[in-house]
Amino acid sequence: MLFLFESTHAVIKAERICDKNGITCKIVPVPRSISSQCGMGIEVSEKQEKIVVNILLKKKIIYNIYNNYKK
Amino acid sequence: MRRNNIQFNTYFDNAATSFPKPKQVSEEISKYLNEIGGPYGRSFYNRTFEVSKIVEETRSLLSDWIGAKDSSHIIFTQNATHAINIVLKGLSFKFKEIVISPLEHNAVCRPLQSLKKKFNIKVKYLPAFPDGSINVKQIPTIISSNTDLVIINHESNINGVIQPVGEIKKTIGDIPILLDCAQSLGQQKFEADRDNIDYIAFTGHKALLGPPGIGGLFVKNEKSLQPLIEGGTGSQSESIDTPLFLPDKYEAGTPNLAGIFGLRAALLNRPIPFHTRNEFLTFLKSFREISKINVLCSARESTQGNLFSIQSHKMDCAILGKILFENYGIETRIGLHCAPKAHQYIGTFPQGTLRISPSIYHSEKDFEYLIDSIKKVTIN
Repeated sequence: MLFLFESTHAVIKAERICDKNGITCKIVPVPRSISSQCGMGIEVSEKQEKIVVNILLKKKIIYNIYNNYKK
Repeated sequence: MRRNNIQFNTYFDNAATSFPKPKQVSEEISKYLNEIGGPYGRSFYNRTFEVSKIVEETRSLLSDWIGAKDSSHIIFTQNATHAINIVLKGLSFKFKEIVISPLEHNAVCRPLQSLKKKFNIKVKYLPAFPDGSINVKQIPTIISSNTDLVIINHESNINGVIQPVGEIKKTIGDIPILLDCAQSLGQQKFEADRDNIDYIAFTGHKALLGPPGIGGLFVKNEKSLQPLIEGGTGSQSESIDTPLFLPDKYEAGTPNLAGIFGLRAALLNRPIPFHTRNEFLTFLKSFREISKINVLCSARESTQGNLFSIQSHKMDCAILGKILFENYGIETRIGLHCAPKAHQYIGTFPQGTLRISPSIYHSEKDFEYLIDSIKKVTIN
């Protein structure tokens, strides 16, 4: 699963919160098929999607989520 | 710190730029330039991620000092002057009325002068006591429903008067307030969220002990200000419109990353002060006991910041500064300190003053050396 954020500030905040909660995530480039943004996104396993969504909602971090983005 | 074998810290110009810095400041700047490199945001590889994490950690450390829960409201700037310009050139002044303290620096007065010329903005002064402390009870006689903005120099860069910003904000209510905290942030923390402060301008190279070229601005409501500079932010790159969210709205272009690394190191490695507050106040009192000088400071100890000025009864302050430097290696700032309006208010214009601004690194022994040197110069 790929989580995208509006700013670098939000990406770093999200990564820090995931890390604090023991969630393994990977910083990846934003695929051009999804957005023309330059920048980074956070990749997590499908199993962890719900946990990450809950944490981000709780911390009021705005995000977009993508599946099958590796095509 | 040592000149001509003098065994004391002779640098008393910390209100201009603090020196020394924690050694980690230069180490971290060097680490960024020589080892880490890379941009803030813009890409995904480890190098940029590491840099971005440091930038955001620094933003969080600053938000602790400012008292802002959400660190995205901290904007990196070059310095306090840049931050003040973002506010003054980004606001729309509906009623064209700005109220300021009598102790403002040219960082505020000069952009205000431009606004007066361009848009016919009216500038009024807050009522104050002889030392420049705001007379809070009298504020309602000056402000009105037509006041667009109140600007306060939190700590005067001439006499060190610290203004009661919490009380001032309570008195002016919903009128936006801009605090110029160039001198004070680093000496004390703020409570921006609690006190409902709208804008706080600060710099990294004075009391925060960071390098020059990095400062910041706290913005409570990003809808209130147009950006001063626009360009690439690494976000919403498909659009030629500037992003409306924080911090990107005000951070176009690559920031001073080496400066941010240095500032973070300063924030994380603050030394234990070499002197106590009481030792500083005793130092100040010693000047009052020298018969041939005037001391320009706060009327009350409780509102005295870590700097003050003096004037010799008989000697031009430039001559006094020159003798102190040439004979004793003491470095001070002489003149108007870029604050002519403040000097006019406290009665030291146009001759100016000799300013004494110690840092956290001065010991009681350094204070004694300065006092002894000034006594020798003024008595002779």
